[in-house]
Amino acid sequence: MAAAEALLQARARRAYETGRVLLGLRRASVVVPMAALSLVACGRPAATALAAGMLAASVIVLEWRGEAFGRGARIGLLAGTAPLLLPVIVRATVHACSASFCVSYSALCLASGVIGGALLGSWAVGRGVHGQAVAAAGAVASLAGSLGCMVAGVGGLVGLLAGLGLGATPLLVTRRG
Amino acid sequence: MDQAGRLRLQDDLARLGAGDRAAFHPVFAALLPLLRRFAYRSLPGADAEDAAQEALVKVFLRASEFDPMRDALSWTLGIAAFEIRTARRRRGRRREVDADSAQLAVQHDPAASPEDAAIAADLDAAIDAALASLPPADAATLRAFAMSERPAGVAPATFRKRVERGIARLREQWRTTHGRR
Repeated sequence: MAAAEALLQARARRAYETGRVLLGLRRASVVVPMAALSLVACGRPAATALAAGMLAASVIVLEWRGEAFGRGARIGLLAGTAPLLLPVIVRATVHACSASFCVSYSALCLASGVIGGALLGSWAVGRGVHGQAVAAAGAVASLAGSLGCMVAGVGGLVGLLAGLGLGATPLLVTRRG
Repeated sequence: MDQAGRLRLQDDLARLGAGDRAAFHPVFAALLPLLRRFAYRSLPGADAEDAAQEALVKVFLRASEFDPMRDALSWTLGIAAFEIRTARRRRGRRREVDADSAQLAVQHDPAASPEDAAIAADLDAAIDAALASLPPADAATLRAFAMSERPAGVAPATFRKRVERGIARLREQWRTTHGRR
């Protein structure tokens, strides 16, 4: 009887872990439209595929791990939405240069990164999330944002990372203090 | 399950749903006896155990979808009820298949177990009901055929055709009532 129960427990455990992976796959499906947007707007298929693949894998692993890491993946995706969308929208709707003004995509990525970073920081401070989960959320936000900011090349990615850091750091430092 | 156990299950299942593996064992220990009791109310022996185990595995498979705003016990029993319904349907189909083959022999076997005898009696009743719903001429033909008799004055070829027609109608009637041939 005990052996049968141990077998059942092992089966239940496998089912639970399978359920966590399926949850990760469902949550990672949001990466597909993000990658499609990046592909259309940025025209860099290899870079988009690399970033999207890493983003999907991160989301699956973090959701499977669960707890603060799972929440971090969701917050990271949300925080990466602004740097993903802003450069893409600007590129699609506004002429990059007029007679007196040129849109700097790097600056856009910096600004939208600050918004995403602030969101990350406020989540981490509000929920008292530990450092590893904040780092995981930051990685997801960076990968999600990079899908949009790669429109500006390396400058955009640097702007994005700087923005995320600038937005999150003050809040995180305040929490420590 | 008392109120304290219910609250504990709510808390443990919410933690498990969020990914806290430490909640696995408490949930397992709470649900196994509960689902067994629930299944044994609706199904006999081995079928109940199978349904309880399937339900338990399904609960863990779907634990990550659990919404902590919902009642954990109701959510769990909802999954178990679905598994029990599935097990009952499966059991019903098994009985129909048996009815197509071995049960008539079991009915006349004095060494048959009480359960086999009960199944055979159920089957007899189902066949009688199906025959009763046929036109009287078809029912009479099939009864005669079952007794290996042929009514006087009916040619063999005519009788064979009547039997075929009667069996076709009986099959149709059986399918309508029980869902399968």
